[in-house]
Amino acid sequence: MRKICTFMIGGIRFGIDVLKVMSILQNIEIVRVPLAGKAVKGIVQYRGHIITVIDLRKKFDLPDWEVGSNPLHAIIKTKKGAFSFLVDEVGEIQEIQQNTKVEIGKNVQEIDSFYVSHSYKLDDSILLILDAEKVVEVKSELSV
Amino acid sequence: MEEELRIFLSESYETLNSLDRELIQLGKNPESEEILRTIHANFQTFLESSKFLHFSKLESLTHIGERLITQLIQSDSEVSGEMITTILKLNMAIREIIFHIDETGSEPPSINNSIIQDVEEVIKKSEAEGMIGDINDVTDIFMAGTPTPGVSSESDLTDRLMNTVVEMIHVREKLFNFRPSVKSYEYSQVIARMASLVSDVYTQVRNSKTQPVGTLVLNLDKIIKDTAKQLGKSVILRIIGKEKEVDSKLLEGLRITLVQLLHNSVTHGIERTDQRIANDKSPDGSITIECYQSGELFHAIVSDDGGGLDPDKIRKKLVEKSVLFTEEAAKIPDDEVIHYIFKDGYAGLNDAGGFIGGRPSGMDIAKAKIETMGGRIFLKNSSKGKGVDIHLTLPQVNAIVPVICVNFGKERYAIPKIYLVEIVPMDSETLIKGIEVIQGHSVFIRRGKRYPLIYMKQILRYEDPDMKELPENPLIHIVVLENDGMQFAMVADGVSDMEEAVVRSMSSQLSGIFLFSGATILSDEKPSLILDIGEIQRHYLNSKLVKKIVNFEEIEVDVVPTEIQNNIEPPFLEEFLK
Repeated sequence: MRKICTFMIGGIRFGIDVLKVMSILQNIEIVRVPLAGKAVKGIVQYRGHIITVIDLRKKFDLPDWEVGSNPLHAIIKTKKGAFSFLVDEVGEIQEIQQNTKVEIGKNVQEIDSFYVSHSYKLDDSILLILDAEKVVEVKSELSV
Repeated sequence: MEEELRIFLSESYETLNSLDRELIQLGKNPESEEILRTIHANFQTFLESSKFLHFSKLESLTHIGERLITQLIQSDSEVSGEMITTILKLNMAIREIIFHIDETGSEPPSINNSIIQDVEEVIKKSEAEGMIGDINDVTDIFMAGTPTPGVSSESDLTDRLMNTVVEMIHVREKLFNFRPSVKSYEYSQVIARMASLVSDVYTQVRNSKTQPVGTLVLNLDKIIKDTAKQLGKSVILRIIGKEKEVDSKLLEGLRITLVQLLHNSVTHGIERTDQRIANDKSPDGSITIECYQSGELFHAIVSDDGGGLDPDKIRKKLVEKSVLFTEEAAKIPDDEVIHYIFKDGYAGLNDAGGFIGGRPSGMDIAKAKIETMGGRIFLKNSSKGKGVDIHLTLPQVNAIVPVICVNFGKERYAIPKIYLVEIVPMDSETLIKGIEVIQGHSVFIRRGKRYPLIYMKQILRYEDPDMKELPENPLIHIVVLENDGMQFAMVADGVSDMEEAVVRSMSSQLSGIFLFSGATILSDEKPSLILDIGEIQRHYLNSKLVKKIVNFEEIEVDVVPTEIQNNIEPPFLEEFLK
C-alpha cells in the first residue's frame, strides 16, 4: 500500500508519493529567470535554498493559468534536489493498493505519458502517478 | 593505440582505487546516494573505455555493475552488506582483467562468468521487489510542525551543517540591518559577538567542504609526461595557486576538464622537440595552470607555449563536421573563428584524436561538462606560434561574497562588488546627452572617457507590465563595471547598499544560462540571481570594434558588425528610459 498526495492541474488529477512532498506553499515571491526554458517559472527561496519553480501547465502543454489565479507550490524532493511544482489545488491523500495498478499508455490522453510512472484504478477514476524525476530532467530546455 | 592504452591503464588503477574507497564509505553510510552516484560514475568510466578499446569481457562486467548501481540508486533504500560484497567481488574481477591487460596488452582469454550470473540474479530480485520498499513509516506531511528532512539530496553531515550555517548568516545579516528604537552599547556588543561566532562556524564548515586544487594535480603531471613522451615531445607542467580551495563536489568535474585541456595542449598545441628547436623555442614545451579566486568565481587558466590555434585548420574541421558550410566558414574572421573550438559538434565521437582514456573528448564536451557545474569556459588568447590560453571559471558554491543589488525595472539582480568601479546617479536627460552611438554601439561619455553601454533590460528581456507609472524624468544610476581591463556601464533604475551574500547553486535547468553565475538569498529573504559580469562583457563587448571605440582608435568605415555585435542593438532611447 502506498500513500499518494493528489493534485489538480488543468482539470487533471495526478499524484505524487507522499514521501516526496516536502511542503505545500502559497504566495511566495517568484523571481523570474531570463532565458530559462518555458516551463521554468523562476526561482523561490525555501528554507535558505534556491528552488526552481516548474510550471506544470507549461510542461504538459495545458492551457495557461487564468489571470489572477493563485497557484500552489508543491515542494517536491527529487534526486536533483528540491523543486517547486506549480499546481491548481491539492487534494486528499489517497491510499492505493498494489493490485489496482493499471497499464499506462492507454489511459494517458491528457498529458505526455513520458511524465507518468504508473497509474492506478480508483473507485471511479484513474490516478496518474507523476514521475518527478522525469519532470525535472533537462532536455535542452534553454531558449537561447 | 599504445598511448591510449597507457592512459587507460593509469586511469583504470585510479578508478579502481576510487571504487575501493567509495565501497568502504558505502559500508559506513549505506543510505548515501552520493556515494552510489560516484560508484556509478566509476563504472561508467570503465564501460566507456572498454567499449572504445574493445575489451568485451571488461565491458560485460562493468555493464552489469552499472545496471546494478543504477537500480540501487533508483530503489532509494539502504544498501545491504550483502550487496556491497557483491560489488566488491565485481571490483575484484575487474581488477584481475586490468592486471592482465597491463601485463599482456590484451584481455584474459576467459573469465569466471559466475559473478555476472550472481549479479543478474540480484538485479532481477530487486526489480521484482521494486516499488514496494520503504513506505512503511509514513509521516503525514500536513501535520503541523512536522520537521522535513534536508531539502536537497545531499545527505552527509557537513552539507546539512552548511545549510544551517547559511541560514544563520542570513539571520546575522538581518540583525545587522535591524535598527532597534533604543540603542544600547551592550546590545550591539552581543550582536557583534554572535556575528563573529557565526563567521567562525561558517569558516570551519566551509573548510571541511573544500579541497585545495593541488590534490587533483598530482597525477595530471604523470598523464602529461606519458602522453608527451609517446609523441616525441617534452613538456613541463607548472601549477600556480595549488593551495586555492574548490568545493569538493566540483573537484572531479574540474579534474576531467583539466585532463581534457592538458591532453589537447600536449597533442595539438606543443610542438615536437625538434620543431621547437627549429623555431628557436626552448626544447621543453611548457603548460601552466594558474588558479585564483575572485568574487563569486574560481578561475583556472590553462596556458601553453605551443603553436597556437590555426584558423584555417579550424575552418576546415568546422566544414568537415558539418557545423558550417564552406562559404560561411570563410566569412568568419581569424580572430573569431578560433572561438568555434567550443561549438557543439566541433569534436565528436568519430574523431580519431577525440578520446582520452576511452572517453570522448574535445572542447565542446569540456564546455558541456563545465556548464553543468554552473561554470564557463572560453578562449582567452591564442597567437600563432606563441600558444593558447584557455580560461575556465566555476562558481564558488557557499562562498560569502559582497554584492550590490541593481534594479532593472522592477527586477533586482546581484553584482559582486569586485566588478564595481563606481555608481553615478543622474537624471535621464543628462544620460541622453552623454550617449553617443558609434558604429551601432552606444557609449556613454563621461570626463572624456568612453564607456560602452550594455542595455540590460533588453538582454534580460524585461517587460514591464505597467510602464506608465514611472515619473517623467526619473533618477537613474550609471553603474560602471570593469572586467578584464575594460570599463563599461549599465543603466540601472536603482541601486541598493552592499551586503554579504552566500553564493548558492542553481538547478541544472538554470546553471547553463550564461548571464548568471549563481543565485543568492538577500537579507530580505528574497532570492536574487547573480549576474556573471565577466561572461556578459565577453559576450557583448569583446569585439575588436568595441575595443577600438573605447580607445578612441580610428575605425574603418567598412567594418561589418559581426554576429556577436549584432546581439545588441541600441533600443530607442525614449522607450528605454520609460
